[in-house]
Amino acid sequence: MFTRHVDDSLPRYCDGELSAAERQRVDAHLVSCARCRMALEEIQFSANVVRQLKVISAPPSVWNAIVEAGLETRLARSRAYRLRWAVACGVVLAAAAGVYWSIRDTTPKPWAVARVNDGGTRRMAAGEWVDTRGGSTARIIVGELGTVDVAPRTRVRLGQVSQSEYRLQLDRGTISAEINAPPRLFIVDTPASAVVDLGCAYTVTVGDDGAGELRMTKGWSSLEWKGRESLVPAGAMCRTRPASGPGTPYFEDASAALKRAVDDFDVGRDRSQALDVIVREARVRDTLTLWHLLSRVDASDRARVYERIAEFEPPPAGATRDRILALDADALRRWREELAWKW
Amino acid sequence: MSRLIALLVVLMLAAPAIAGTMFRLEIGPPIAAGTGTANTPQVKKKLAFVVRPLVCDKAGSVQITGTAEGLVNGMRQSVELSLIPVNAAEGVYGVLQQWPEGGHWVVQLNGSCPSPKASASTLVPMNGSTFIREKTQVLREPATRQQLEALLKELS
Amino acid sequence: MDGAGGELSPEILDACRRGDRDAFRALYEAYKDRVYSIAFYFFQADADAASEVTQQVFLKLMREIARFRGEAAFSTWLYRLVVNACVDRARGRRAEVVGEDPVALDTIAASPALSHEEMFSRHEVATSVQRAIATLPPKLRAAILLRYFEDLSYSDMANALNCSIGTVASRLSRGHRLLAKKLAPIRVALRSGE
Repeated sequence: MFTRHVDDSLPRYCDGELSAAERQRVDAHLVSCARCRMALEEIQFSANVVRQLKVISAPPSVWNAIVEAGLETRLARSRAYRLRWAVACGVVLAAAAGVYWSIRDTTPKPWAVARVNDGGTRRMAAGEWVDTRGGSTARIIVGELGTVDVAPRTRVRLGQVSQSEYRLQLDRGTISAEINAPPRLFIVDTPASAVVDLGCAYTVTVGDDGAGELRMTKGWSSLEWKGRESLVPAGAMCRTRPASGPGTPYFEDASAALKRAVDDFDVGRDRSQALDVIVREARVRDTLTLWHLLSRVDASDRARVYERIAEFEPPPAGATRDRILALDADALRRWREELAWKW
Repeated sequence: MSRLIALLVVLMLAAPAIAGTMFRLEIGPPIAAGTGTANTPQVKKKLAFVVRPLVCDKAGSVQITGTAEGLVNGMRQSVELSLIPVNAAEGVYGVLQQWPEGGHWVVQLNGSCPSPKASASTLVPMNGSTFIREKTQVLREPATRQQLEALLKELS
Repeated sequence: MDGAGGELSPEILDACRRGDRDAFRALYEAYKDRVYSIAFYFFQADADAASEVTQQVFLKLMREIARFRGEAAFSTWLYRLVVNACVDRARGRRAEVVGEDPVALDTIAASPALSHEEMFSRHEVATSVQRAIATLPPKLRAAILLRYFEDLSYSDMANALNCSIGTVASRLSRGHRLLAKKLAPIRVALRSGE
């Protein structure tokens, strides 16, 4: 007597996709059929194995290849079948920014925002808020320039988009940006500083009190506020405070003592002692911090900071001690460029 | 006096050889190539790191080439790199990540200085597009295969 | 207005149909990793092949999106594009796969009992699994990847593979058995670790 084997039902059996009747039939068959029991085991094993495979991120080169392969022509062909109206906002965008206005309604919606948790995407206009409550996250696609990931419990306002600028306003929470753009095209306003993108990847966090911090992961950024500037390279971070703007940057792998001392110095707590600690704890990489301090310490302390940096790396030709102590901009810049090779 | 002259002659003859052993390739983060907008800003955004020659008469005449050497799922891979001239007059070049994500990678940079004649390599272990400074080896002669393979092994 | 269950909002789809580049970019960002990963594993961890397939799929998508009327889920349609691109490419390739390395698998079988985690964290295992998948006949390969890597339901798979649910089940069954045979040493090692 021949019983039909149940091979073809086994995958669905494993996945619970059989009806009750079918399931009973398979169960009954498995009791007496070693061959199918073996097959079941094989299916469970290989299903497990394939489930271990990890998702691989598509590299950025793929997008570039798509663009090069004539994305424009294909898009143009799609567009040719519809009328396209420039929206009456008076803004014309440069080809590099590449934003095309929608004709469905008259409000321009230059921002594309994806809700990462549920996969949906929508278009949003300048002035609208992205608010990630209750554990949701979002991704803002900044035209052709890159992406900004919005962490939970964050409020970000989408700003104006123009030929020379994309702006975001971070009110509270954390965003992580990966931007490929000419310098100063992408700017994040926080209560205590503007983060001017000089091409890079970074994370900006703003607390409820308006104080913030910027952590650079790639490239470098400049924090600017009322004439004060902090340069923050990859691997470093910088705090911002509503009253005083950008603090003094330091590398994330600096000693805890140094970091505490920099924070103390920036808020004006025991500055002299803080400076002692910084000078003592500094490694060659921390010349980033020391260099910024040159223009922030009192004249009487400046020589001490100068000496410490010079121990690691003497200033190059053209940047004499006197000019540095006089805070000559050119001399400072030359020294910084030499020091950067050690950061 | 002749002793002194002899000593001076020896030193002068030795000087190129001694200077030659000082020639090396130094690496730094992209910001080391300057923050001014004169230097092709588009390119700088994507650079993993920059490299420059030290102790060579004419920095601009140094030839630097690079390959990315990797171990991916147990298999060795090699990607030839096209270095970006950031400041050709000073021999400063940028390295873009032209190797895939995943696996372990070391960038091998080879440079030769025409005067004084010398060659040197720098081995730069990478973590994605971030260079691992503590494990970087700035050598004053060309790197050997063993040195490279040992470094790769250490990473994986 | 977000779509439910991971689907793109109609707004984005409409904008794509109108040739809106930003919307296309958003769509690309939402699906690129999935497309890339399927192609990656389809071609035995070949990043170049994966890049080419991904590029091909999205370019085709852009051309054909006007024709997508929304009778099936967008993702199902996309998966069909990916599978077709992979199967077509597989047909065109002469030398499919780097030869088996029996030594690697033997050392695993011979090594002392490994836990599940230890097993799957080893490079040799990952390589062997990738090789084994890539040696499956293309249609079986597609079925296995869509079901266990992408977690598609049987009816979605039937749509994506353009066949009946019965055919899907049969391809899965055959694919599994082939995979299990090729990965026998790993199975043995896992069993002895229990």
